[in-house]
Amino acid sequence: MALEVKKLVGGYSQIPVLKNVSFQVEPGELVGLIGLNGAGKSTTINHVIGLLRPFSGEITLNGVNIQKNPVEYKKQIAYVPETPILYDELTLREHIELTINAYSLDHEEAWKNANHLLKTFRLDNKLDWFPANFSKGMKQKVMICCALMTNAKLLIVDEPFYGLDPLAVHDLLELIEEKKKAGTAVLMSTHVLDTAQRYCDRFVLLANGKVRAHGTLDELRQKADRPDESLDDIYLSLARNDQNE
Amino acid sequence: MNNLFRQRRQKHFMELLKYWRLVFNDHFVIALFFLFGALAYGYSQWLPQLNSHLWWSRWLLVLWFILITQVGRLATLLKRPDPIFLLPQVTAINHYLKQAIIYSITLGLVMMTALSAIALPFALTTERLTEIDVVLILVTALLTKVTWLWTARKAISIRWGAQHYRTLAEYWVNPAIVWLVTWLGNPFWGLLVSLLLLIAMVAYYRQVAIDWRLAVRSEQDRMYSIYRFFNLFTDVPTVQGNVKRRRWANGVIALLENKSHPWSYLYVRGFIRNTEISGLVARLTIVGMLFAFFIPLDWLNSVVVMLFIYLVASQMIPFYEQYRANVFTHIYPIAHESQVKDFQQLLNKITVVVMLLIVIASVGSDLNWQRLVVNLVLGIGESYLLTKFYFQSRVKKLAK
Repeated sequence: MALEVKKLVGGYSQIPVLKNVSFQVEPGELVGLIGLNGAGKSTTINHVIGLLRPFSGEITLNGVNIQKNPVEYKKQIAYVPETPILYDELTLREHIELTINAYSLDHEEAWKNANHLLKTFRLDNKLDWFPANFSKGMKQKVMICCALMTNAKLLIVDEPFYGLDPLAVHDLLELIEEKKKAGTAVLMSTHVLDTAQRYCDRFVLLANGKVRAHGTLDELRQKADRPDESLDDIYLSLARNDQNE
Repeated sequence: MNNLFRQRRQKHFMELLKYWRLVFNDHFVIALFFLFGALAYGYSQWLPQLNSHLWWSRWLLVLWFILITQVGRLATLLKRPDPIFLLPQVTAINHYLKQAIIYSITLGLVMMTALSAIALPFALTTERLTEIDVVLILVTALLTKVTWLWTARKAISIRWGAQHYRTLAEYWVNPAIVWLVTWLGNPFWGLLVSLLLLIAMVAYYRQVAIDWRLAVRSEQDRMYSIYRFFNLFTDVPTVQGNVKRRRWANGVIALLENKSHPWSYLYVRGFIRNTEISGLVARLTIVGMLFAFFIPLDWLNSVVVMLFIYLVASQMIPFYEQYRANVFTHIYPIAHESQVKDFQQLLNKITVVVMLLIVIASVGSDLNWQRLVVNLVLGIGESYLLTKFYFQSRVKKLAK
């Protein structure tokens, strides 16, 4: 078991946003985190990456607890944020170097990985530019390169598709597929449901800070009592039910 | 809409008040007071040494008065969304800008009077001035400032806004004419010229319908320079500084950097390339070197040298927090201690280099080696205390 979130209660201030959230992500598995705006997706991710401190509950990654051993825990994760976050003062090359330093990666091998990724996203000729001046999509590609070049056991991807061109979306999904084959666990939050339906192995459906449903597409269909329907429809029906409650 | 300027002005005052409170809480301000004290003391010591009718004294007065005319800009208090939200208010905006220019003139006159007063002791020593002359000069100063502000007002109009160089010339040439006539001719003619210039400017530049793009940008520039001042004392969120590549400094980066330490990697590059922090350290160092070079009194010299070393170190420390808002600094698997250590190392290196530069400058034009050695010993001791203990206590405070 890679990531295990157990009975997580948490949020930004005193008031809990997440109420008793539990789910797992297995190695080699892509789990989609799905929910309306304000359902608690980003809050969950902020807890998983250690930005927020749980009020109660436990988060472990391959048996390492985030509170008890933050450095060991953080060695195993890589993160692609929803909006690109870059250092204004560093060039693209230096972002890669910094990532190598921060994760203590093998210099040569890491650069080989990085070059492959940069080439895929057509950034290999912009190594000496400041990515802070790139377009939104290109910045996002830099974030993806920096995250995917690590050997992280858990990859956390927050709304990765906004601003990416269709070719880049395709490339990203392929790269995630590769990572999965290598045994990496992936947690991805998204609103793009048809893509999620095609690529995710399992889903965690959040609503009002609670796990509304989780499981494979078939399991979700059963739960919503809507066989043969798409994730989109199931999601809408579950969301509407919630609103009526 | 009629009250808009008043409301904005009140909000503006509240904001300034908030920052001033923080400024006076900081011990940096004590250092500044000390510096002003030293300057005032030096000025009063210097005046009796002057004989009247030095060839350069009049030119110095001309230069001073041209420079102080540039202080105090047109405060429109416009905000970025205004062009969209106030677009239909064509007549109301003229009323708004009229209030803005009255406000700016009031502020400008206060500053102009204060800054002119600084030069008066000097002028009274070197020139033969009657009381009437002093009054004439003050009135001239005020008229010149009003002319300057009218130049600023027409510079944000559709009709005249594009003529950037013309505006720039008027900012400098108009006061230059007035002050040359005042100091090289006599104050009465100066007053007359300044009055004629004001009438001419107001009569000539009449079509001043607002150019929103220029107006908003110039107001943002103005606010930015205010924030930059406050940023010396406290952290102002909007002041980020620009980034310059500075390839030539790659060697310096290699010298400062601690190899394969991620925090060192980040801090060193940030320090070199961020114009805000490196500019601040460079400015303080140069000013400190000038003071150290020119202050002849030994004890005062040592005090000022130590003061500037403190200023540089204390202004560096907020840079520790530069990357706090970046999630990745929280996500990287790095222990917190290495951040403190790597920053301390950079601070140490910078402080020592700055200390050496200022101490070397303190040898002065009379090559006073004894003073240099005393300053060196004091400087080394101070640098050690600053980077070791002062930094630790500041970081503890920041962590809270």
